[in-house]
Amino acid sequence: MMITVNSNQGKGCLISVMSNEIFYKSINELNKLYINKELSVIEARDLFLNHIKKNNKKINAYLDVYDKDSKLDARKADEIIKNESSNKLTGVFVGLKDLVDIKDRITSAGSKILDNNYAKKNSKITDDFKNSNSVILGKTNLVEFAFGTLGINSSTPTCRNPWDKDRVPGGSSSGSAAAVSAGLCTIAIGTDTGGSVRMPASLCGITGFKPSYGVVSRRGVLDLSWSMDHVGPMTRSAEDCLEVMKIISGFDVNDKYSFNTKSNFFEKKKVVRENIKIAIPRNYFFDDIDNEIKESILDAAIKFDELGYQVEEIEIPFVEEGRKINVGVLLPEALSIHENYLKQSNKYTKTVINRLLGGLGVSSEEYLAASRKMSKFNYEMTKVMNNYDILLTPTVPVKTPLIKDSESPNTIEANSMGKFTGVFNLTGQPSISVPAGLTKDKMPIGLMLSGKLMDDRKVLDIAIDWQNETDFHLEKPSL
Amino acid sequence: MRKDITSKEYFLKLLNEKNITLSKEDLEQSYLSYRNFRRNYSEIMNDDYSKFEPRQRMFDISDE
Repeated sequence: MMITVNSNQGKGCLISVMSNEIFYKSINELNKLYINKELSVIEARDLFLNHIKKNNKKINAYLDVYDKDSKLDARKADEIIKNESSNKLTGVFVGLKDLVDIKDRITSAGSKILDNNYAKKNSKITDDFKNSNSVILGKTNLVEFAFGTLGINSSTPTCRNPWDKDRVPGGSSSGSAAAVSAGLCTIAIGTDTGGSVRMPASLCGITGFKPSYGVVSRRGVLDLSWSMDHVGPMTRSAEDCLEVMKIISGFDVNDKYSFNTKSNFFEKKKVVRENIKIAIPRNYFFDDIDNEIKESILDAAIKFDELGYQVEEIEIPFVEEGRKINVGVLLPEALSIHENYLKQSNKYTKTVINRLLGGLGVSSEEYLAASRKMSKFNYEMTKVMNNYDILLTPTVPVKTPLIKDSESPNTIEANSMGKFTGVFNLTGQPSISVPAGLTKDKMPIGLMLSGKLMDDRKVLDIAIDWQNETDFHLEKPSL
Repeated sequence: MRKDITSKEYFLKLLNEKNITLSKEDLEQSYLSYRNFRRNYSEIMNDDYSKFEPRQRMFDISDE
């Protein structure tokens, strides 16, 4: 299919690209097109905008699309590329979860309570993208205040899964996952307090990376729980996640939780498969799990073994404690953050207010007990990870539910979806969800690889190796 | 039964303190969440974590 693009640089041109291909190009592929002058950023931007206009109403991935600003960004990116001073993210198309501040733009958190909340400054990661001359296309949908696992939000309205629009996309970074899955951007940013990058990545068939705690600054990103909040990239591949991490990671003196990583933190190290120990924790992560998901993940473990990795089954007896500690720390922190918003309790969506109020009456002793137990849990996990490089698990235990069955905050799926991912928010370990197959009804299945604290590069390298050997991540939904 | 009633009354008191009024359906859902979290904390409080300070993630276990 030939596409005519009327460039705003004063020359109309005919670009011979397959319309669907451009939306699924990797960061490196887009770079090559720009540098070889096969496509300009403004032309690509027009294609993306048309694609969004045509498809966003079907899935509600974006809450706001920046028509004028993205045009200015694209023109600037073309100038930078012309002057040969670009980096990998120049001219690459970005969607930001609507918890991330862009100066003079509304950060709504998907809530009617903040529908007039104009940001005074850019977040640190917004500055990172702007300094790289990326093109920010808009703000993506989310669960109200990022407080939910399925992606339900009656305020915005609910984002839909591009693979089956009657099903949930997962949450809370629902719009970010759906946008990448549907080719409405190349990179999206999500936040992850109990799995909110990895769960929707799994349900929408994309790659979502939660870095080690503190590696990406959270300055200018609305908090849910300061002890467990992370910011991370959502893309088509682990290779693209790595490119984003190189730009958005690093110490931020204005974020008290920021970690001072070494300059070579993301420097390439050769993956020697025979030297890498992968553990499959057979308790907890394979209990009460859907059979199709279980089979796909165990098939993946066999594949890793065949590739030459050292794969071993283990038991982690204490891990089942993680879920209650996660909730025990999160709830009082979230309630503290929401203290002022609760005065407008009637403006919350039902799913969020009914969960949030469950945390009323937590005493300081209880909160400190949960926080100290978090440390004990992390100590035990450090001892496990002393013997292994990677824990291989499913990302979620349940199949993707229908939207119509997911309105209550207390469904089985809502309560169990974050059972596995939340473990690594407690520990702060780097953790990635990568596609590992499709169910019989053609819904994506996610595999989670979690590494040692501050061993982010190794997790990404192993995920890249997995994607070099498989093509699950190349599957696309039909819109 | 008596304990359940007391627990619900306490929850209603907490809502009143925050001036929050809920529909009957929302009250039931949020009370269900509240009860789950109460059970959660009672289990957490029963454990021994006395050697640990809050929210620590990095440990040197090289001597262990």
